[in-house]
Amino acid sequence: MTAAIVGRNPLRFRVDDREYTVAELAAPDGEFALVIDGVRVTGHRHDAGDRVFVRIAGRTFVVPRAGRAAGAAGAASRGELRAEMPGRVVRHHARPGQRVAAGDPLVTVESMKLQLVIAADRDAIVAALPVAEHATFDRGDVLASLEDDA
Amino acid sequence: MVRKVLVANRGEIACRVMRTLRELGIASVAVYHVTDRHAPHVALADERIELRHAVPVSAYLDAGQLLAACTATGADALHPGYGFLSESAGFAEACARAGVVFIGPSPEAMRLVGDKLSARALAARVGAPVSPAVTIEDDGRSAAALGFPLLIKAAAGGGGKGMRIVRGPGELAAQVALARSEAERYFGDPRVYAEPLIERPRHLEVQVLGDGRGGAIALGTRDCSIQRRHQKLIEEAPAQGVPAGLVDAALAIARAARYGNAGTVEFVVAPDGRYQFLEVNARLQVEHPVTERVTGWDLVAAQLAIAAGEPLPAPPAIHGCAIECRICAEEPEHAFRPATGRIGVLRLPAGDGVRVDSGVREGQEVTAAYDSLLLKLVVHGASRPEALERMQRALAELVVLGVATNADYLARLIASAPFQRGDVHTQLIAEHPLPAAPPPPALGAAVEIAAALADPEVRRAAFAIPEPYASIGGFRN
Repeated sequence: MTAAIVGRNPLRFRVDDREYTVAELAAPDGEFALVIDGVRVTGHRHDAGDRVFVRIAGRTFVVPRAGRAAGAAGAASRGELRAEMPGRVVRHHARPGQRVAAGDPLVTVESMKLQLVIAADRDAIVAALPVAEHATFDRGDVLASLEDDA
Repeated sequence: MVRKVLVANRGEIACRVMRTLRELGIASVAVYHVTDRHAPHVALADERIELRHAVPVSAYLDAGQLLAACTATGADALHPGYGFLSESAGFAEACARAGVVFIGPSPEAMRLVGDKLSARALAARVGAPVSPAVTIEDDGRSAAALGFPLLIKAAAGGGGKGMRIVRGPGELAAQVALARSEAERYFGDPRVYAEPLIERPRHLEVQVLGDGRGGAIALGTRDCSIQRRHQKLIEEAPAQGVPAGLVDAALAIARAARYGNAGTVEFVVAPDGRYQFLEVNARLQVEHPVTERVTGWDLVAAQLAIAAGEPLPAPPAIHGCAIECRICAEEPEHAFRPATGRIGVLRLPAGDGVRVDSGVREGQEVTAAYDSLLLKLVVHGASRPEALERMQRALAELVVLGVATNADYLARLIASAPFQRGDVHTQLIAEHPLPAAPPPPALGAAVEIAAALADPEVRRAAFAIPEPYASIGGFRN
């Protein structure tokens, strides 16, 4: 669901197959004031680059911005095990170049005051453990990369 | 009386301590890691000293640098806040050796209550109910006699760190190993013990002040049952339905420990009303403002008076109801994982009965280097329903944009039927996920349009004004 401009004078947006007539009013920094189909809508807004925070009616929404996405977090891709949340590396259980089997522990991390073991998701060779022991990482950072055993 | 206090902490608690110091005419010294150089506590202090360390959080744990900062600034006392070195008996001793007054309990009392096993023994000795427990010295087999589910805790632990729930014998050995590892890492002490898990308990606690000579008073109770990951999110004072004898048990423990300064005696209350001693927190706690609101007392001022050797006052009367919400940078819809980002917009609520203890400012970067607590919203009302209404109002006024927070989730939780009824327990959050309802179409469209209009490219297309005028403004109709 994104808003696309479909007309000017008056300004019209289409959202989810519905069109809205929009006028913008002056607003202080960090705020916005719009008239959408004759209804005044005010709130707070912050452009964080890859996402826009919008707060209306006591609810905060985070709208991802297409094309500006930061490094994806979560699932493994190209043999990279990424952090699903920020944290700290407690210890490495393997060294780059080492052969590991699926399920072998690679890194113990600590997030949310709990320790978690990141294990190899397949038989492979450890290519890198980019975050040093005791160093912190952010969501989406690569904790371990594996390469296939040739 | 002390003349200058070094506040060995950061964030909202450092600011909160400095405000009382200012009111008492006592000079304050801030310490900070370079990543915090623009943080509010640095600006609020009369003097500031940088602590150097490669790891930000380690800077605040560096006893040597903290004491050197006391010497350099002539600070004659140190307030540890909570967390960091606040419950380190060794650090309190180092302060004493350096001639710096540590504003907190004596190292002896801290050791006695800080070790969970000796604290439990003390509680049992004064007749407070304690759970049956087994110290685990093997791979966990010895704990199986307690039955399942059971809870593994660190002997040196506290605050929920290093705790593991074990539902059956199959996972016992693995959980014991993890608990030991966490205990070793957090507390430098791998000793763990097991006790039967009480399902759906309430977490009640008693705020005490001790004189260190066997005298203690209670400043009422708090209910801190609303937790996630064993960490408190909402606290209120006074607690409802406090079992008979619980406050007296807390006082007996504080007196027997010859506890000095502010502390908290925590209990777990089973659904049937039976209660057990949990632990003593030998520090000023995060949730102390709810007690301040219902007593009208300033607990930091009380700490300073006790540190100066003044006698304990008579216990205060309790007025109305106070509630605190911890506003944290985290994502409730993703198991409350910590969130990071730059705070682009910050608007704090105000008005009668609303207190905000904030440690952040607009423009501040929220990183994974520190705890996720941004600020605390504290409200006071003549009654619990009035306090709940006021908290809803304050949460609606609060605006934190640029980093995900739990504020909207907390608003839903406070509006939920169990919380409104006061029917709370420590598993409430886990059992009631309270996802946000999808916005109605008009609201959803407004959000998308407002977000689109934040984009300079969309603005150019929408208003067709050539740069550079578009960014000057004043052309909006």
